[in-house]
Amino acid sequence: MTEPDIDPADSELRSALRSGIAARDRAQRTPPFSRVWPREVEATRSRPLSWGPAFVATVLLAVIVAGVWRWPDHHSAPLDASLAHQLSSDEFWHVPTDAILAYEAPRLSADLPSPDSFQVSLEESYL
Amino acid sequence: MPYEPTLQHNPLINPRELEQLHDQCFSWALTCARDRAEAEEVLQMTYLAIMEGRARFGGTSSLRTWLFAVIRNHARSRWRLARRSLQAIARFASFEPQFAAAGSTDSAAEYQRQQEHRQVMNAWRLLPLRQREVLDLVFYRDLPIAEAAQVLGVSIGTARIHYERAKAALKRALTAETIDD
Repeated sequence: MTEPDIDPADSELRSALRSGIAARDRAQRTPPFSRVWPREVEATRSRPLSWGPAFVATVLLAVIVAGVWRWPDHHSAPLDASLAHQLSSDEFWHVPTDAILAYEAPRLSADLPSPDSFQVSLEESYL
Repeated sequence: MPYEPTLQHNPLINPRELEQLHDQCFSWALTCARDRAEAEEVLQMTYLAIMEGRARFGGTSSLRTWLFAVIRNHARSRWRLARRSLQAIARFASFEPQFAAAGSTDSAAEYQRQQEHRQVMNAWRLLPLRQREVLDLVFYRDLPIAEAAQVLGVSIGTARIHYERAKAALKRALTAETIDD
């Protein structure tokens, strides 16, 4: 280390200030290095970031999304567009789908009375 | 068992040398800060910056010079935050070094010495911060003015100007105190 730039004329002033600061340092004891060095922060920061839980969560999420995406019935046949249009109309019950035709009631073989011979009084009409 | 700090972000710093400079660093922090508590905090902030790599020693100067500069920068940052606080200024003005703890006051000579210390320290603390710092570095820590300029972050010419003004101001303050006595 090079010599400090001290003028000999300032030696008395320098000596006085050195004594004063040295007395201050003696009075203010230095705290131990181990106490000042941020060891707790070091311990916290030295712990590596745990990637395991994040990875498992990502895989699980991907599985759930894939399952929901493919949840619709695999055995359903593709729907005919014209039939889908008819079924979405207000008179959907007129659409002769296979299921409806399969459950079509048999034709009634009973003789129904003719409306010409069916006389209903005014009072009976309110019933 | 001595504690070995982790300096993975500062490979040029020898941990043992850092620990050996701890006393001087705290002493310098006392000069830069307003009280002991702030000095400890400033020093801890400095060590944290070193540990985290925010302050990196490049090896272009001595480790001590570099440490002093980092400590001073942290103290200045804190000083700027508290500059408007009248309470902080009042606390600083009333800060008294505990000379009594340094030794007994039984002898008159010891008492006289403590009075002289107090007189010098009072005059020194009344100096502007930069003048106080340059006198500490040159008079007490035996740094050349060129190194003191590095610590203060100024040119050598500016450091010399502060140094000359600090000496003159300290002499005037001590002379005035002597006259008042």
